Amino acid sequence: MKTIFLCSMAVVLSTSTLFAHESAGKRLFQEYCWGCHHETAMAFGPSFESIANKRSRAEVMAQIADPDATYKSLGYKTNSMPAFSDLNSSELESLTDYIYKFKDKK
Amino acid sequence: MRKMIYTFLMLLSISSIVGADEHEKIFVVERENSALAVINHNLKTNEIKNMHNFNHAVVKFRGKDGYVITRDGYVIKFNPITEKKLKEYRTSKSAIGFIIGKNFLAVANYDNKTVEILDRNLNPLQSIKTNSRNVGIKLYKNYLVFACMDTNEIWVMKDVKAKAKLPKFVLYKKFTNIGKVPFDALIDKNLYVVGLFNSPDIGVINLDTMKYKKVPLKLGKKERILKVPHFGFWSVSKGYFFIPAVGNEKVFVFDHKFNYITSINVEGNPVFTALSPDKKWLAVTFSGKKFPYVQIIDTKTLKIIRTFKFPGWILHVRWSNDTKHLYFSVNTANEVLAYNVSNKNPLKWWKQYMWPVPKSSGIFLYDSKTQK
Repeated sequence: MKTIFLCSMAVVLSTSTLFAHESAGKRLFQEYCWGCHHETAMAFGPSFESIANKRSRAEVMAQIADPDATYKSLGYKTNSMPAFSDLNSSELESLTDYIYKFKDKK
Repeated sequence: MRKMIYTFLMLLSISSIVGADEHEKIFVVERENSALAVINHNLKTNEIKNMHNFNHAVVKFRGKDGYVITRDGYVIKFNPITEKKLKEYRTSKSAIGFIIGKNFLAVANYDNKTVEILDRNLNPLQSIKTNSRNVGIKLYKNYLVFACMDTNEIWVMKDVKAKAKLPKFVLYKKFTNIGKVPFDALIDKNLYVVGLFNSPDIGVINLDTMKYKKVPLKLGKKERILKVPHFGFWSVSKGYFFIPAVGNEKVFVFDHKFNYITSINVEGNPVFTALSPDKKWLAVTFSGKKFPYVQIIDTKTLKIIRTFKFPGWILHVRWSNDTKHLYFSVNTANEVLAYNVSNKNPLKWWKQYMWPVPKSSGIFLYDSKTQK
């Protein structure tokens, strides 16, 4: 009985951690990205869907942190995106996870 | 005699009913709900639903027709009086702006890099391929003017069938190397004025002479921009152009010959600058951490008279043309507010109405009187 209780607690905790991580990504999107990017449609910046479909996680994080350093290697002619070098690694992971939510499911 | 009086009273009552209906109706984009909220006689009375992706939706009116473009590229025609959706047509995967001509619509698209021409019943007429995302679409005489964000160009198309039933646009003049990343524009009489995201200038075309010039902006150090200003809302008063800075906490003031007058330091990076109908007040909205603020500037003294702080993000403001109200769309509080602005002193303006509108965004006004 005690084992079932502990298992249930573990599931609840891991699920809530997952939701917290996801909501952190969405919160960061709404705080920083939302004015220029849309999840699935081209806007002033490319959609998260198109980014997730053609970029690696490392490329996504590098572009968020310092786009002036990466935009040419990613094939963009110009850069209009500001740097978000003030995001910590956990925030970068959460935001990248959120972007990857829109990757096409194969 | 009695019959005459009776007839007179009947006519009077009919005219008063018709007159009563000739007022401003408020349409509010519900950003996350694919719905257009309707506020009528100070009550939220309806929602027009199934409007596709309503992020950044734009509504315009001409005559008795209402049109919307959506983030996912639909153009929707609706009746602003009956509040019914009439027809829809998808022009692209992502549309950004449009303009309504007498017998056509022109839609500027992002995703498929075209400008699409439709008739007023949304039948496709012409597709103009530009190889760029397109912004700042305007009309002047028989010209259709828009800017190409990815190629740093402005295209002037001419309607060579201006007197025919339907238009046919051909490229009349292309301005190249106009500056970096045009993102929006306004038109004032013969002047097409374009904002440049990555250049410290604005661009101005005189559409009578077809001459282009750049006007330098004293921008200073560019801050991080979290929302692109809406330069279509640039405000033009009798004496001045008010222009929100890109990435700087300023509103620039120019005279009508684009001589620099001054810059007004404001609360944050401006998004919308909107003049009151009497041109006495300029409302300025902001982005980032300053989304909850709106400032009111006296257009005579160019001083900030009042700073509002709301309990949520302000995504749009609109001055009523019909009554003494200023409307605020408080997106994260899910409400639209109407402040009574009848007092000459903005410090005495007061909150008169609140309407619950989920994830409220753009506010658009339809007035059958002015649409006649």
